Amino acid sequence: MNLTTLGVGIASGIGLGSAYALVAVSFTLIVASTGYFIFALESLVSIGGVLTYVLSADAHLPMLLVGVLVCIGGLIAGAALDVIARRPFEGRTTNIGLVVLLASIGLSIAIDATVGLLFGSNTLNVPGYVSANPLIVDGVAINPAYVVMFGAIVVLTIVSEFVFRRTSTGRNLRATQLDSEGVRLLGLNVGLMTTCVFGVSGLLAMFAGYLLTPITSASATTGSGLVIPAFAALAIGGFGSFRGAIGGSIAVGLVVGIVPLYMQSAYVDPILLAAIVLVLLVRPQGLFGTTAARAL
Amino acid sequence: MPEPTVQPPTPTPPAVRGNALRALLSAKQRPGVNWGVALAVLIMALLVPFITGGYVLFQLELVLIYIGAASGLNLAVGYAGEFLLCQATVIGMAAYVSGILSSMHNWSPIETLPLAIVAAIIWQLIISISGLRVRGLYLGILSFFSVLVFPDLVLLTSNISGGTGGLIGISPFAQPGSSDFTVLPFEIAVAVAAVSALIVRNLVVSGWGIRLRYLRDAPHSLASAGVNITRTKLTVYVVSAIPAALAGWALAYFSESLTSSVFGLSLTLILFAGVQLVRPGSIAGPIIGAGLLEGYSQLVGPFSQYNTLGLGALLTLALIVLPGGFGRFLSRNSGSAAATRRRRILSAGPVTPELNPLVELRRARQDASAAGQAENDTAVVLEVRDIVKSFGGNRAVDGAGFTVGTGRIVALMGENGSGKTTLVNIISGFLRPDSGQVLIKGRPTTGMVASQVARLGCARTFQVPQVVGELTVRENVEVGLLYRSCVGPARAILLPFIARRADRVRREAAVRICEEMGLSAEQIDQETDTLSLGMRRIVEVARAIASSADLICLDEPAAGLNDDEIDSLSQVLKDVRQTGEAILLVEHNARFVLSTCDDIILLRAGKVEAFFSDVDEDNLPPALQRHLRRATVSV
Repeated sequence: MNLTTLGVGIASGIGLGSAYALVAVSFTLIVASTGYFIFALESLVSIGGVLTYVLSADAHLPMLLVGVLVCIGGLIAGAALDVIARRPFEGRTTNIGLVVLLASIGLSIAIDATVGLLFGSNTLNVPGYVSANPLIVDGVAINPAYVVMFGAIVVLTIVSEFVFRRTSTGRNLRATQLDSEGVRLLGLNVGLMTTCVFGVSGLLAMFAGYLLTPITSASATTGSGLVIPAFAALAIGGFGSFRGAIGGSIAVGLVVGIVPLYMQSAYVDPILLAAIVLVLLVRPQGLFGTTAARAL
Repeated sequence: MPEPTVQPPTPTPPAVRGNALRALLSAKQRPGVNWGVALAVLIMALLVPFITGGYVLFQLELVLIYIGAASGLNLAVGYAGEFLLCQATVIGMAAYVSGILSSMHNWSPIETLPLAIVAAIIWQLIISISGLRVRGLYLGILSFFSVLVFPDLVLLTSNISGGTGGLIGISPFAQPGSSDFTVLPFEIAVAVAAVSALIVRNLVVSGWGIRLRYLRDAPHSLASAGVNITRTKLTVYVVSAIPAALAGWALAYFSESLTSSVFGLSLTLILFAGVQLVRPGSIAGPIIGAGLLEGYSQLVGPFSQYNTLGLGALLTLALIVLPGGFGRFLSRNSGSAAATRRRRILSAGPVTPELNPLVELRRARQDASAAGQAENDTAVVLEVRDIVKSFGGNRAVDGAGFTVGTGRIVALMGENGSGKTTLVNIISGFLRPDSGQVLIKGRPTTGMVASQVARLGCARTFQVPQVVGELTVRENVEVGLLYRSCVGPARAILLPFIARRADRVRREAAVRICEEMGLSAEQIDQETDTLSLGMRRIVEVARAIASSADLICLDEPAAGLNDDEIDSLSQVLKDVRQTGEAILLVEHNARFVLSTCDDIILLRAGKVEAFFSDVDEDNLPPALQRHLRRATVSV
């Protein structure tokens, strides 16, 4: 095993990590501001990819416009998730977190099956938004899409940290997660705020689907393939922390990039599952996190 | 105390048939299983293979074993509130172990069964072990991933499991052509379903039923009653894996070949939605639910996209439409409209003020205690030494120290933020101090978890009463007696008659404690859902007494109570004190404190500012008067 091969592994690991980070951040946005885990976001990643295919390969729209339309679609789809999978349970159960999780798992499976029925289970090839020719850096070939995703994640990190820590909107969101009743009493429209957060999360998830098309193409299963790495990233990084989500994603990306160089790629997911179990057992708050997902 | 539960197998008159179903679907601690109906269903089921055959029979076999597995899942999800979404892979693990041993080593079904069960339990524990540390939500997601990872594991072990090509060559239960060929597998499927339902039924009608519901709805209370939470959870994980193991084992021989896709999303959904659909936390709920869903699945074809589409959509819709049935097990507050109407019908009502002294109480507690611990009346029950506890930069408790003697009622007073509740949490073992020591009856509690502290003799109640609404007052009080009288899970399942004796002793002890506290016979059998806040507080006190605690810590017991309720509570506490228990309470209500307590500890900024012993209501020390004036509470 020579150094260049390892370099390829690391480069694609960081690239994949950026992709996971996009998904992980869309989960985190909702966890950090409402405390819910909305599983169905993974379906939005698939829908983002398939929509990209429909708009570009079928409708022949320019890729930049496709990206904008996918983002708008994501905003709407995310808000719809709030309406379907969270609002109906508000005030009807005290353990709403679990009900919302289950409802969104059911919804997610139904959406994936529907997409599968409509578009078949084969992957659909999408024209790239960047050139398909790899960049050669020091003998290591790097897919330009990875560079775009990495750039996107850097921007996202800066923006999300800034919004959540420095702006009053961010403070309101963090307060909502801790005590939504209290924030409501202060006169803020918590329902609308939550719908907006879901919308932005949906936007990120579908945009992730768009960005991923040069690498994974589009299919009904793109999203579900990303759930394990993204959740592993959250568990390792700590739930509800943006820095944790991104750091965890890069760590997971490196595992996914490097492990197949040395053994069968089927080892990747079991290794990640084992890592999640271990991390949650030893350090439930994650390696970087401070908010614990503690038992009692 | 009448035995309300198991009815003799008399034929049910038509008029009450609806009630029989309702009883089966009820979430009561002892569901009225009508053995006559159960037997009739069993016999009818056993006769099916003589009527029909072929593929339909195979489909029915699958329905039956998944019903069994769903019963096991219901134990974890419906009763214990542990979100295990990995049941499908537990079935898969058992199936592959049996299948591999059969196809490669020609082991007979009898020989593979124990190994299949062991493998299923080990797999279940690997997946769920972090449930000991993380909240239900994350356990749910984590265990769900095992479903996504399972195909990879099969792929990685291709040389023995057959990989994507599938595992073939499993010999069936009976050879083709033999007279048993169609009948035997079906009877085994019936047995799997029946045995699974019986395992769950036997466990939940014993003390474990109460214990599991407490784990689900009020885990803190369970710990403060001395019950080991970790062991309770592990029991749930292990027992719920057994029906899955039986199902997987039988499945391997039914299908004679296995692929990993069988144990995927649709099976997960069938089992989980099956438990949710009808009535989680009842014996019959998962039987009907999983039966219907697996039936649907067989109708559209288990591998069709329409199968996952329908099941996924159904789960979401069922949640949206029926959060009452569903919410019933997640929370006692959501309940049905009827439950909401019932609530608060029974107002607290003053507990008879002329309560007899609780002379018999000690004896009742000793009866319940199998160990019969020796009396050692040390004068000091609780000693708190130099406790320091910081949260981030905030020093909540800063070197507090005091003692509480036997038979004293001591109040912790002080302004908000002076560290009262933090101290109670430290004393009862829910928080660890940064430094300092707590001694209960002279024994340090350093490094102990809440349940261990409770077993040393320190019980507590909570600001918001942590009781289980669907259980009666008596059953809630039984929790205090559980850690000494709960038979092991194996005995509860295999020897229900022995378990029942222990249960009866415990029930009677609980009834006596309730009676001593002045509860009427109908209040004792009332579900706590229907009680007012004041009555729930009293139930919590009774539960603490039942755990034969020498020290009972009460966190703001009078908050939210009206004057009558406060008087009843005060009376109850004074009566409790007469049998030697010490009571430490955090309270703002000065009237209540002055009329109830012997001693008052005044906290200020995490330190003990003053200790007033034998406080006389008419002759208050000046420092105390000053505090009471400062506080906005009326005297």
